[in-house]
Parts: sequence; structure tokens; C-alpha cells
Amino acid sequence: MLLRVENLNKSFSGKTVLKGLNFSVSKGSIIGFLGPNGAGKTTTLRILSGLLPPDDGNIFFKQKEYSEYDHTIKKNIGYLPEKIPLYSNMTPFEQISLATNLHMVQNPKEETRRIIKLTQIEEVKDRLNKFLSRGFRQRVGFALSLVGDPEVVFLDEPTTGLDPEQIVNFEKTIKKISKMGTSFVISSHRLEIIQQLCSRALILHKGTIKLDSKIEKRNLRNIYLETIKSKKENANS
Amino acid sequence: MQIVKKIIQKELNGYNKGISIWIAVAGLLLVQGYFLTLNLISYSNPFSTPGDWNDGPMTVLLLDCCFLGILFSPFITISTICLERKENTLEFLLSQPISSSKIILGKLITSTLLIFSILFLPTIGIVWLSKFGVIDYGHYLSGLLGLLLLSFALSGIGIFISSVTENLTTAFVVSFPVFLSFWFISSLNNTNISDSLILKGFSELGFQEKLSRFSEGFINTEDIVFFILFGIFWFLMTKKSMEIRGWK
Repeated sequence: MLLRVENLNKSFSGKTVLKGLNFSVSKGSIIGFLGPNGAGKTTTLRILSGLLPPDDGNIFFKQKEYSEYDHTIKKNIGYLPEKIPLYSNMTPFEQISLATNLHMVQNPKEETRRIIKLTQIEEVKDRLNKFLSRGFRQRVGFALSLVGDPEVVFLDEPTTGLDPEQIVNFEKTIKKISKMGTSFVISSHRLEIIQQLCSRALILHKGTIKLDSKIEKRNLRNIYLETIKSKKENANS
Repeated sequence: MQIVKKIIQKELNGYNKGISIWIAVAGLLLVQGYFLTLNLISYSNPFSTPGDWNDGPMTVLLLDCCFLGILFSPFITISTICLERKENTLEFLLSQPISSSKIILGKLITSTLLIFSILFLPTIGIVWLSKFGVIDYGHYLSGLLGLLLLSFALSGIGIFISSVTENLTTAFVVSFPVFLSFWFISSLNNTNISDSLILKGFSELGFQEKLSRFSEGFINTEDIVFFILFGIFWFLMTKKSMEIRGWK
């Protein structure tokens, strides 16, 4: 098991966001993270990326607790936040190059070129980030999350702003990288993308996992609606 | 250290690409040029007493530079962390496999170098004075050391302020009076209220007296240690502030 989350809890100003979250991620898997707004998806991904500390619970990466790694854990983790963190006065090449340098990869220039090619952003690599379209910003953000060849990548709403062709290319890239052993946890509201890409879906509602299921040929839309609806009915009764 | 170097390069490139810093430098040079001229005029007849630049215009000019540093530094320091957070790029830095200490250190060194370089520029006018008399370069270097230490101390506290708020205006509004108070707090020593032990202790934190000594050509080890510890204290506070927010 690559990543194991045990009894994860998080509150903000007394409001509980995550309640005893448990799940695991195996090597090379693609997991869809679903749930309505405010379910706790982004908070979970931020905790797993090392950007937020949990209030309680344990996260194990390769059987070792996160805290034992210190910041070095981030070498094995890629993260694409919902709001893409791009420097407006840098070009994609410069920012990816900065990331490769901060990751201390052996050949930063070569790694930068590899990632630019992999995410198909060659045509905008020398354009200032502030002049990029939403779709390209998203792709540059995706490129940044792949720097250093991480073992697990957390993607928060990665298809926002992408046109249909870009989505197809994005799916192909994810599948290609996943075959090389990288795991992905993808948070999205777009059920068809999760259905297409992921082998397993986690449905998060009000800070707890309501469903952890293989997708296979089942209709994810129906599963999702049933899960959320039944929880709402329970809550009302 | 290589990581810190990369952060410094990134920070300097960021400043270099912005026009605001160059406008600020031009403004500062203009103001300082004006002060230098005033200083020269106010000395009864400087040209008749060659070599007398050191106790007069040089001391005043160096102290002017320090005061301008107090007024000018917030423009540099407020953006260090606050702007990164506003544009969400701090998340990019923090998601890299580097500790927050290295990020802060990189920003602290860049900010110190930048503030010092900008404050150093107007002092070149002093070298120009050597045409008309003998310049005591030891005195000049002592003043520069004071400017460097001041830049470090202001960067430290400025970066801390920048790390506790998410609003640039708030960071500026807080930085400005805080910086000024560290300048004027020294004058508590010269008032009657300085009988109070607490106020006396506060006045010891003031910059003005210490920088006056540097500007007059006196290097005091206590002053050097004060400024270094001051900067380190705020560096550690910034680190703590980042840790409280969960960014290690």
C-alpha cells in the first residue's frame, strides 16, 4: 500500500470538516474523489499534500508516518490546487524550471523539457503566465504537479477550463503516467471524467466517506446520487 | 544553501521584472539628492574648510539614508509573503520539498540585499564629496554597516508582518507605523517619562541612537549584536507564524 489514511479529523474554528476519514491508495491506481461542495475534498487533499496539519489521525506513506519524513515527503507528492498557483511575471518554462531546481532533480533543464512535452504546453512555454488562457493555466499547474516524478499526485478539479480535446489529452496523459506506477487522487465534480479515468471512487459527504467502491461498469452518476440522497434523507429523519 | 540561492534568484527576478521598484528607487534618489544639497548649503561655507565633510554632511547624509530606509522598506517587505499568499503562489512554494525556514531565509536575504542596495545608492554622493576634501572612508564604511544592519532588521520585522496578514494594505498600514516607532522610540530616553523602567527598556529597542553612532563613524559591538538578534528574532517569529498556519 502506497498511502494509508487512518481516522483523519480536521476542524476550522470549531466547525468539523473531516470526521474520522479512512482510506488507502495503492501504487499505480487512479482514485476519484467525489462529493458536494463543502464535503471536505479540498481539505483532505491539502492535508495529504502536507499543506495543512490534521487535528487528529495518521497518514502513512509506504508504512511510515508523514511526520517522520518532515518536508522531504513532498518529494514523493505532487499537488494541483483548485486555484492554480502561477507567478504572473514568470513563463511556464521559468516556473517549471524553478520547481525542478527546488526538487533538486539531477538534470533540471532536461526534466523541465520532459514535463513540458508530456503535458503538451510547448506552444506557451515562453509566454508570461498572466497571459495564459484558463485551460493552459490548468495544464501548467498539472505540469508543476508532475515535477520530480512523484509517486502520488493529488489533483483538485484538474479539468476546470479545459476544452473537450484538452480533457481527452489530459485523460490520456494521466493513464500513461499511471501505467508507470504513479498513483492519482482526483477530486472533481465531473462524474463522466471520474467514470472514464478512475478505477475506484470515494464519495465524501459532510466530512466522512460514505462510499468507497470500484467503479467498473456501474453507473457512477446513479451511485453518487443515491449515496448523497440517502444521506440527506437519513439526516432529515 | 542551493535551495536558498534559488529562492533569492526567484525573488530578485520578480523585483527586476516589476516597474514599481525602479520608480521607488528614482524617487528615493531624488529625495536623498535634495537632502544632500540642503546639507551642503546648511554648512556655513563647506568649500572653505576642505576635509570637514566627515562630521558634517556625511554623518547627516548617512543618518538621512537610515531614516529614508525606515520610510521606504515597507514597500519591499509587505509583498514578500503577503502577495504570495494573495496570488496563491505561496502554496506553490510550500508544496515543494523545501522547509519554510529556507523560504523565509531566502526572502529575508533578498529583502536585506535589496533594501541595502537601494539605500546605498544615494551614499555614492559622499564619494563625490571627496573631490572637494578628504573623506574618511572608515567613517563611510561604518555608516554602510549601519545601513546593512538596519536593512536586515527591517526585513526581519517586515517579513513577519507580511506573514500574519493576507491583505497588502493592512501589511503596509501596520508596517509603516511599526517601523517608524522603532526609529522614534529611542527618543523616550531623552524625556522625563523615561524614569519608568518599562519605557526605558522600550527605548533600548530604538534604532535612532544606534544608527547615529554608526553614522558618526563609531562601530559598537553591542549595536551590531542588537541588530543581528533583532533580525533573527523576527525570522523565528515568521517561522512560528507559518507553522501555526500548518506550513512547515
